[in-house]
Amino acid sequence: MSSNGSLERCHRRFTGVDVEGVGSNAPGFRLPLSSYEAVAHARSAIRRTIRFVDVDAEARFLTALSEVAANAIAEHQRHSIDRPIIVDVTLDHPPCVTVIDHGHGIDPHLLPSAPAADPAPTDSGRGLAIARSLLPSMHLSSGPTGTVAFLPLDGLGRVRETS
Amino acid sequence: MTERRDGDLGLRVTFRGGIGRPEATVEVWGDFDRAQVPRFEGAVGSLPSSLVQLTVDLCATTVLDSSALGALIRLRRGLDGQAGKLVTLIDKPFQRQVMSITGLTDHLGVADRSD
Repeated sequence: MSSNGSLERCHRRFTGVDVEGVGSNAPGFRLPLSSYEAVAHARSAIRRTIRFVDVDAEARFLTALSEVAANAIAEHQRHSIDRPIIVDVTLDHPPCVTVIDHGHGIDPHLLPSAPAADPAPTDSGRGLAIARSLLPSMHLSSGPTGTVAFLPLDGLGRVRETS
Repeated sequence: MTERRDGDLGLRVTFRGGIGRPEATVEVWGDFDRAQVPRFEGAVGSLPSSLVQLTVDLCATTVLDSSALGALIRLRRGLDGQAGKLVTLIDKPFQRQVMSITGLTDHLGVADRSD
């Protein structure tokens, strides 16, 4: 399936749902994300579930996921939002990971592009640019009640078969 | 090196160099993300301020996020203040892309061992 096809399936899973009522019957699992430490648990769960095509694909996907998740956690902390961020892993073919937050949203058009070399760079503000670069098929759907980040896995990994 | 569990962050610091010209290498392996930055900064913060060169070997990292880069930028800033040099080793395509997209290849003294 093409990347677009996978993205459509991810979208369909969450269509019409603004982040207030995300739901789906597709196979998979969900993890709440309340801290930066929890991102490591999400990565472990994905590693246990998904067989990546190679170590570089795994690193690209999990670094992009980590950036999106950290961004969501920072947004919740910034606005003192108590509701949990959700990492949804859809074990469809191909699989997809979705990160859902309840922040105030981001304008995808304002996302940073690749920064030029800077002789005195600051030490923050690169997360989403890195995620977009490593996972070009990533898609953000954002509004005033939150952001849904779709991270398709097609071409990067498959659901592990259970014996 | 202790047995590595998937995704864990590992750190090992080694010293070399002559008297009066100390150098150190920090090897980092596993997932280097925001949650692990305090461990990394704790390790490099304990190094002597007289280092003429600090090499951070990231070749065995399996995640490398923007917070890790932030830690390296702060490290470089600290080394600048003591006339030390930072060298950052990488050898994987995703590491190269992270450095390239952020424009930090030169600033962090990135050397690609796969070249």
